[in-house]
Order: sequence, then structure tokens, then C-alpha cells
Amino acid sequence: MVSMEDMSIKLAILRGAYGYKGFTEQVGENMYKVDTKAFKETIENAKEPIDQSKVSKLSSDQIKVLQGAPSGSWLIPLLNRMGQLGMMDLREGLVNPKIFQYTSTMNAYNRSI
Amino acid sequence: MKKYLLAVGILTSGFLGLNTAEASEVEKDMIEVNPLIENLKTKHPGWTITLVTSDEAAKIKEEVNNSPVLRGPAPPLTSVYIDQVISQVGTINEYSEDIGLQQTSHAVSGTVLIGVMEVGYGNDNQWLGDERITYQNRDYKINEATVDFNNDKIIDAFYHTVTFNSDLKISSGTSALYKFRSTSQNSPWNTIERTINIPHL
Repeated sequence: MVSMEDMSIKLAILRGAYGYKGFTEQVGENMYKVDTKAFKETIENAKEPIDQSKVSKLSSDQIKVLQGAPSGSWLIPLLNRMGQLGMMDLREGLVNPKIFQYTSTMNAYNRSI
Repeated sequence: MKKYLLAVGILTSGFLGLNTAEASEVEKDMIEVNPLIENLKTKHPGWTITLVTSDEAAKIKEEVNNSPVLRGPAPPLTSVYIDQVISQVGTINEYSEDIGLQQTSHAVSGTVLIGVMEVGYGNDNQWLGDERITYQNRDYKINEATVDFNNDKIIDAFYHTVTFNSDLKISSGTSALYKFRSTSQNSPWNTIERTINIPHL
């Protein structure tokens, strides 16, 4: 049984690294309320896909990349479970689009100095 | 060592056309390969050298082509940003803040999580105030996830999280400075540092 705190960490990584937006509600300009309890219950108890069109699973290439860090040991089954439930379309890739905003900003900054 | 051993196998078979289809051909190749191997053994006594057939070499090449990461030099460190600060982690009052270019987060309490994106390969260190955050320090829980943002099977970025009890680490009504510093593995003159001021309720 995964603790709420551990599930929060997992959800935070899904949001920050891969841009997952589920189980959050925007409550301010940059503030979000996070419903980890509902996320945990869905992962552990859901029997049917939430969105059939997003039912998917990780490719072997995605698995190999995820295995590049220790978190891969729990991210792989978690992401596959989310794909099974259609919570996330794994075919669209695993990246938070925010990364491009900061990479281009930093590249421009580095060029200017 | 395994990768090198395989590479030697591929090189010897590739350069010298090693083929096991016919016994006589193998013997002929072995005669030509042996001096090269003996030379390698002399130069590098620590290496284990194994001959492979053409079929095995093809399989090895395929395996290497499909292997995940770190083929070629590590991408240089190009960007680090503090992505989010979450307070009261694991409770019904859990709030996440997108940090962007802010210098100060919202006032926190309870368990706090800080998420940092590191683009490229760096050797990183992090601190809360004067205290260095390490895997050995059990006051902190560290996680790291990999990101491949162009689907080329090479890890482009790492997403780091650190979780700690802010009620123990930051006195009520005061702030602590969290700092993440990374130095590029293959361009060591390139160091990027990001900080965020974290006030406690």
C-alpha cells in the first residue's frame, strides 16, 4: 500500500516531468489544489478506462528511457496503469511542454552573454 | 566492460569478414584474426576478448542500436529551472505553486516538495539554507525521473524532487533559501544555479 505522501511525490513528478494535469484545480494565478487522495483511489480501484480513446501503454523505447533513473522502477508500472485506464495518452510522448519555454529562454540568455 | 567486449567482437568480425558458413573460411579468418587479437591481448592484458560469428555480430549490432541511452557524449547542461513548490504534501490541503521566475514561494507548512528540471547532464548539488541535501541525509527524500523530449531514445533532461518536513527545517515565521546547483559533466566551466526563498507560516 502506497502512502499518501509517496503518491503525492509520484503525482508531482508526473506533473513536473511529463505535464500531467489531472487531479488538480487551479485556485490562483500559479496555485493549484492537488487531490492526491482521488488520484490514489483511481489508480488503486478503477475497473474501467476513464477515457477509452487514451488507452495506451509505454513503448519499449519509453521504458528504456525511464529505466535511466531509479524512479523508473515505479514510474513504469504507474504510467502503464494510467495508460490502461486512459488517464494519459502515452503515445503522445512523455514531456512537460514547459521545458521548451525555459530551454529557449536559457538558450537566448546564453547567446546574449 | 561488456560493451567493450562486444565492440571488439564486432570490429574483428567486421574488419576481417569473419564468417562461419564454411569451416575452411573460419580457419582462414582465424589465421588473420589471431595476430590482431594477440596484439590486443599484449597491449591490453585486462581485456576479455571473444570472437563472435557474423550472425552474432548482427544481433549484437541490433541490440546496441536499440539500447536506450548514453550513446555518444552526454548532452551539455543547458538549463535548470525550479518548477514547483508543493506544501502540505500528502494531506487534503496540498497546494502546488508553479514557480517560473519567482524568487519567493508561497508560505509553506508540513511536508514540502520542490521540483527542479535539469536539461542536459550535470553533476548537481542542493542545499536548504546551509544544509546540504544528500541521499544519506534521511531528513530528505530525493527522487529523479528521466525525460526524452525529442523521442530519440536519449535522455535529455532529469526532473528532480526533494521532499522534507518544513516544520522541522524552517522555523515558523522565517524563511529558508533552497539552492540547486549543477555543473555540466562535459563542459565543467558551465555551472547553473537556481534558488528559491521558502517562507514558513
